[in-house]
Amino acid sequence: METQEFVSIAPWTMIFQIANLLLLMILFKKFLFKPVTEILEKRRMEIEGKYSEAESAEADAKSLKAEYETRMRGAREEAEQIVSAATQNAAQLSANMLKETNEQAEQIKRKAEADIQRERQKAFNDAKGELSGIALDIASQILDREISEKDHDAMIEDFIKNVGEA
Amino acid sequence: MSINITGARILVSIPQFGGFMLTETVVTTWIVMALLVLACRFMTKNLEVHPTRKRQVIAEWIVTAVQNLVGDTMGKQYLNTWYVPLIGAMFALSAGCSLSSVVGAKAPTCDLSTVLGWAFFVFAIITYLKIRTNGPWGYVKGFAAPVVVMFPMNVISEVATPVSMALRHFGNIASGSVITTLIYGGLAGLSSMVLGLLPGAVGDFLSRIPLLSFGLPAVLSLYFDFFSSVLQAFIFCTLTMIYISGAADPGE
Amino acid sequence: MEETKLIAKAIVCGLSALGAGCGMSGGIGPGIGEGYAVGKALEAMARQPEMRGTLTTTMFMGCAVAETTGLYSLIIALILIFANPLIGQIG
Repeated sequence: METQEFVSIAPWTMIFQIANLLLLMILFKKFLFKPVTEILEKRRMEIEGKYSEAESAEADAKSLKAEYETRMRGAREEAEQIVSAATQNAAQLSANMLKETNEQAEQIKRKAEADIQRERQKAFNDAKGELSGIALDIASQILDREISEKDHDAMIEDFIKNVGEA
Repeated sequence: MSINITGARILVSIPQFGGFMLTETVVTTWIVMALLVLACRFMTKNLEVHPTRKRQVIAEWIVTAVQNLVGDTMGKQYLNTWYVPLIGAMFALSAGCSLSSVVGAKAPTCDLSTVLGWAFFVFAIITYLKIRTNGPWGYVKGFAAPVVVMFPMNVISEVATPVSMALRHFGNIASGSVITTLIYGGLAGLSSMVLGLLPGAVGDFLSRIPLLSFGLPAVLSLYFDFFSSVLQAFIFCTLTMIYISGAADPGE
Repeated sequence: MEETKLIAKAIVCGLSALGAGCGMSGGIGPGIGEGYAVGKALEAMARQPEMRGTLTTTMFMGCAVAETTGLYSLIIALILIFANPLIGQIG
């Protein structure tokens, strides 16, 4: 078979080889670089999506936490308010009750005092009437003399005064 | 024992049609290309976003490596251009063609026409980019760069670019091929001479088999076929990238 | 006449072989240059071992480029031996 020289230039071989290089470039682009680049791009997009998802989830969690905290703070304030209101109520209630009780006690005491006073007056009046009779009897018995009406009354008054002072 | 160092075999020749001929070189290149494309098809079959197959990882590694090479050598603005598959194809074709000598084929890169064709293709890209960057007048003016007297020198140095690229590649592969052929021939001759000393029919039989050809050529093949092939392909691609990015740089 | 041509061819072939051999002395330059480059690269690697990968790649690049002149002489030698254009001129 015919052969070329070892060092030779064949124009048709050159043209063929340039065409081959271009053809292989196109085939490489089509079968290797394009699909692999696409898949790498897809992976990159997926990773970015995962990242943004994680970021949004974190933001959600943060906002949830903030909301929870505000709610907790509100609840605590409410609870404090309720407790303080209850305490106030109780205090007022007890003060009211105390006042009422005091008033009642005062009333009872006053009433009792008035009763005592009245009883005493009554007893005094009774005793005064009785005493004047007794004293008159005694005096009429002891003093054997007529006593004028005027002296009589004065004597009784005097006597009662003495008794009252005694 | 004769040692024959010739060029590629001519398979089809039509002298009337502008000296058209189809040589062994082109056919071997087609086989290499077919294998490369089949490998690509195999690697990029059923790609998944979450890779489970080893071949997809290899495909991604190759693509990323070529992109990194182009991005580092030429600049990030070339990442989504045709230069990336061009460099990939150039490297794969050059290395594949040189490595085809491992299986006994005549390496297409051992034919000066092949590498000269590629080099002229690169030269065409460079010239187009220079004209596009500087304008036709600026391109011509660039040859008279420091002084007008330098014009012929600059033209020669410009033309020397593809020639030197082609000769570098061809010289490395061809020298490897020549040395390998010489070693095979020498070892065959030596073994027939040494074993021919044996008496009788045994020596006559053994001297026909080049027994000494085992061993040493394998070690040399490791350098000339594998190391040199890949290195020359890499250098060819790197020089291409440097020339292209230099030509597209308006600062020149 | 035929004899003269044969003698002329013999002279051209012999001198071409001699020329190819002499031409390959151009391999000395790249040898020295590459040795120098590799030595410097080793020095640099010893100083900065972490730059090893970059240095190796760059060194091989430089070696391959420095090899060019040697390869030119190799190609001249190959042309003189396998594709001698001078023999054709004898006619």
